[in-house]
Amino acid sequence: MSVQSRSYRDIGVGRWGPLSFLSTAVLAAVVVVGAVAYSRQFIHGEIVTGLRDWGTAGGAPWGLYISFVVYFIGVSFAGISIAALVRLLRITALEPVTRMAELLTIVSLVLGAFSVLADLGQPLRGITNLFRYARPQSPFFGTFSLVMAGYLFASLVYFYLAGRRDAYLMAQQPSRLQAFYRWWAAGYRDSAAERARHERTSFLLAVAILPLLVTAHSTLGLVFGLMGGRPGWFSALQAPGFVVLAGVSGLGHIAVLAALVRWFIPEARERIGVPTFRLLGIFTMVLGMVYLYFTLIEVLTAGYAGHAQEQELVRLLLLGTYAPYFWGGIVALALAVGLGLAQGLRGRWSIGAVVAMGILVNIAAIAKRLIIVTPSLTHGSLLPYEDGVYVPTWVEVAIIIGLMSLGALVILVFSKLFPVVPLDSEPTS
Amino acid sequence: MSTRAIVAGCLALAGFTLGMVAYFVLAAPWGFPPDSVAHSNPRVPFAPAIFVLGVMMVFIAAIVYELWPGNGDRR
Amino acid sequence: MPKYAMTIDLSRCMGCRACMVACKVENNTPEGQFWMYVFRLEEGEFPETRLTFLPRPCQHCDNAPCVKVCPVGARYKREDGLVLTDFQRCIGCRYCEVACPYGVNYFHWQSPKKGQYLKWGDDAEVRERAEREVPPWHNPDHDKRYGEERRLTAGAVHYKGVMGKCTFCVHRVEKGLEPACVANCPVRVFEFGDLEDPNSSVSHKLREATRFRLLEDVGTEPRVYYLNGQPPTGEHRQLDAVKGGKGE
Repeated sequence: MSVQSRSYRDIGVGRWGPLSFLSTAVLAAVVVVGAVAYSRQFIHGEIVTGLRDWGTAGGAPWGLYISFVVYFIGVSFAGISIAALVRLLRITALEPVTRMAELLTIVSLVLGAFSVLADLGQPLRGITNLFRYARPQSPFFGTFSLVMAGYLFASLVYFYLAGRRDAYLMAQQPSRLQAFYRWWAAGYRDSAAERARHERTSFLLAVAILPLLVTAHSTLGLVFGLMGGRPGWFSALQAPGFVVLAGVSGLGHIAVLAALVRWFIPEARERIGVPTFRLLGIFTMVLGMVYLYFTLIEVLTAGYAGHAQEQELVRLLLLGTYAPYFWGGIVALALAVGLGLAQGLRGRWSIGAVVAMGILVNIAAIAKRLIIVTPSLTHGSLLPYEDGVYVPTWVEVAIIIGLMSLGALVILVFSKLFPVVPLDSEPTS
Repeated sequence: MSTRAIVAGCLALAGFTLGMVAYFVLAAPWGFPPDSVAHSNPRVPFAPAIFVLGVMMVFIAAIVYELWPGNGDRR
Repeated sequence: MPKYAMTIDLSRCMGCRACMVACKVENNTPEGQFWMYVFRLEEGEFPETRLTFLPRPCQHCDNAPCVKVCPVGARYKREDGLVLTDFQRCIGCRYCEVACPYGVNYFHWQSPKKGQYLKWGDDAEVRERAEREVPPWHNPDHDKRYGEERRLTAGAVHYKGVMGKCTFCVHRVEKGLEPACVANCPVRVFEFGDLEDPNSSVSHKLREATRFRLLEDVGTEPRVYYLNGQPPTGEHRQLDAVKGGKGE
């Protein structure tokens, strides 16, 4: 790349050092392992996973893949929440992280879609038959249409339009990607009229995407919440819980991503400072508290007056087989909230602590998704079947880790091609 | 209202309407509980694709609004 | 249009599980999959234990959760009451399986194996010994389209990645025969027929006996009526549970 890296405008674009190459190579290798694992599943069928029928066969038909469908789609909450906060509430301290937030949304939605495909017994047929026959009466319709098509497309549009100005600025300098930047800028002239127009458009887009966001995450929750015959799933709190935990994991992810960007791209350090992390920390903490409250109410309700199977599931979560995952998640979330409170009460926020919060809430989110999906299948049957067991195989784990690496790889490569922090955003350090 | 606003507005409205029509009318007939074969088939083939197209049109309207040629519009 | 239903007389069932075998042979279900399953249940503490038996086919519910949640309409309810799976349209998401409270769905986790039941035609020794009387390994009725809707719904193990469950032997019913479990029970536990016909066997049975339906409070409105018995409770334990479906 011929672009020199010292001017602030570049924000890491075109800078391929040894660390970047190494990271790219490692991530790509992990993606390849995931792809190999998937090819085994594609050829032999899902018998290579640990998934099995529930009931007489004593397994769980949904496991790691579906847990991560929910997790990835949850993380995608990040983009629009940042965009909405910036546009609708005029919170400018979050402006520097808008682009990486939107990028995270796009990437995690794609990973969510891939996780769905990984889970389907007939993935190719799934793509054609969903477009041809999908029924709105099924909760999956919302996941397929609103999440994948609606929300993903809307985020792409938002991302594209928001990036035009930076594309225009980047196109001013000669570089190998000049044609790409000019294409993205699409005739942008940076006039006052255009800037005003973009303000209006992104405001309206944020307003339009918000209901899509809530609907998308709610229908995902309803996939579980509407199952009347599934103790542990059938609950009015599933949909709201999904939306809140999505917010928690998404915002936590942004904190981690922002810290990584600061670490790898020195120019970003003056743009993304403590005020940005403070806000991320506050919102993560508040949503985390809401989620802890939801969990308390859910467990209390099922434990106090649920049917026998619901009470058994509560016992399993609190004291039995699934207790390590339940308590691990709760402790991680509570620690994150505690860190937030400690910083908030002292009035001093540190980037390291907020990043720790981000990591903790994502661990909690993954643990929680796992125990939403599997326990009801292995232990929640209304007929006297024996209890089941589910242990994921290397195929499932490799595919999930491969997907995460794919996401990281895309973000890494993107940051080399385009400013991942908006140029000319107000420095917040 | 400028041309761009009208075109974008119409596109958004058309997309929204298309989406609603595809969801409520063109897709599988609404009936709870489903008790006939008709409830498993869309009324029009590819109705879900039409729904997705309608949703996309609403957001393409934003691109149309910003990219419409001409710069010194009345505001 | 007939309104098919099944009655199961629990006072006759002795837990022999011939119906499970008949179903498996008729539908060619893979190892470890039991479209018809019979619970052998025990309650009480020794020496005051009681044994009961509970056959569990698909209930072909009127308010079937599996039909409601299928994203592509592969699982559907016919006007005659049968709930069937169009395995050509099925995308293998297994949502019907997690939605069903009865556990009657079985997913094809792998392709049909060599040596799957009734693949005798491939075996040279069998062919030689049986001369020309080798049973077909694959019931050609499973490849036909049924109903006015002309969909592929009969039989199991056509290929991997799709769902299967009890079809009330749609390929037999369409020919005027009874489902395999009904026809093969040695003590006539099952009756199958048209609820709208006052002279059908099911109508007779329903008039003369006390009955319940499984998991009625979940609201699924099953079409399988259990006569002369009690629903299973949390006090019942399974004996001789036929586990399976784990294997390669």
